Amino acid sequence: MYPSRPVIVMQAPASLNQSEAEKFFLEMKPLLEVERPRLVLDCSEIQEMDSAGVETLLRCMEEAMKRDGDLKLAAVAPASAIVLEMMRADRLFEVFNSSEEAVRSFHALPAYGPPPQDQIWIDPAAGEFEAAS
Amino acid sequence: MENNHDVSEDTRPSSFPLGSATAGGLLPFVEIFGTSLLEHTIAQLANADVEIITLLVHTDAFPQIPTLRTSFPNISIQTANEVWAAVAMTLKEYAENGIQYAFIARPNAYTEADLMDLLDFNRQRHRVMSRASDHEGPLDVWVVSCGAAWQASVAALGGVGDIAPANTAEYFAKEYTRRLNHLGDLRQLVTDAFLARCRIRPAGQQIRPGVWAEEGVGIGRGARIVAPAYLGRGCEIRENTLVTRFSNIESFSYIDYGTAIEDTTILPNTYVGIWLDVRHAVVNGNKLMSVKRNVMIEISDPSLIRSNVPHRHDMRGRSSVMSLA
Repeated sequence: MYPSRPVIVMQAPASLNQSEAEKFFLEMKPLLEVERPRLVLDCSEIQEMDSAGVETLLRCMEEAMKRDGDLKLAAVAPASAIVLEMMRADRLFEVFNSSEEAVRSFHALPAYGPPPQDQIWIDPAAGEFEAAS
Repeated sequence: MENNHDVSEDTRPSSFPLGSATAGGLLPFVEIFGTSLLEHTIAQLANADVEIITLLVHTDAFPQIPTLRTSFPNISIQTANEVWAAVAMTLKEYAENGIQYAFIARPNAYTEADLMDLLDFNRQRHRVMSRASDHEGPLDVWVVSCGAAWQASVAALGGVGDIAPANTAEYFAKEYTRRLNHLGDLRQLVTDAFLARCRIRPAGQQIRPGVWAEEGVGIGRGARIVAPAYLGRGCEIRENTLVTRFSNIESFSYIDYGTAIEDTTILPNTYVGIWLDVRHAVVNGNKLMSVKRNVMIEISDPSLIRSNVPHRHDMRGRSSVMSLA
């Protein structure tokens, strides 16, 4: 069995800049240090984000991925989206219009687990398609 | 010239809803291809062989007048709190000096309207003034009969635009026109100029087909400049950067290591940090206007974008302007 954890939605602070980023990371840390963390960060209230803020988001995502989890972003305002794009970080995150959409996306596929019996998948060693038996 | 074709222009800061994305919020003062839009407009007037150019500038905007790169004969700059009143007084002075006609242009649009044709049009119809328009509507370009227009505008206690319609005629300009209401229009003008859809051309030399560079440009190893592109005076393009797709980097700007600039205008004296992607935007100091999203943001993190030592350029601009006044 691969039990799935509940998806946690966090509200990002209004400022995600040099002075606030570390504080934010410390708030996020306990949520990230679990097995397969599944987090949605609601970015709708972010009014200011700088390079330190983006780096903190990347750090959070890295921590989540280390434990086979993920961090997804929701409701990213245009100003924050521009900063993410500018720092080439936009393509590293899954971004959704709303937190609800982001939460649903976690349920679309298991966060981690074996493929269903009838699914065709690629065997990396063989380098060719084969049906899982 | 057979007739005296004299020109007055006005520039009012409140007329340009550009916020703070431009230097002081005045799009006509913005530089593209090394020359301000104001100067491009003055050049249009000078090319029409006007004899006197009077630049009427709102007092608040005066300190931000850009350097004129070309020396225009018979140009004077006057400041005024009430620009339309100053226009009326200038027309009066012109009339007293025997000048029959004047063009009035507000540089809130870039237009290549044929001014001589506009003048002929007005004379044939015996009107006080004729106003140019295009398929989008009226443009702020007029030709006026100085004496009659002064009297009419004073009587109306308003601007030239308040002159009774019976005394005016509308002239349709077939030539290129781009209204400059927001920075997206500026990007479109840059693109049109690169595509030779208008008469504006990049200054400097083509170092490769479609790539123009002015004096003092530094290009680092591994930097890739994809045509069409323009690099202004004293720009620094650091190693492994990419400047591509109709981008113009204006004077004394600095694009740092590994950054990609695409379909973007970098206005003068702007620093763009390391390893960034800047696309479909206009950047001025620490302000970025995304054309795609129609959003303007101010970035307080100087490692991303910031103003790049503006004092050297500004001071030089001021002294030139003062000598012109």
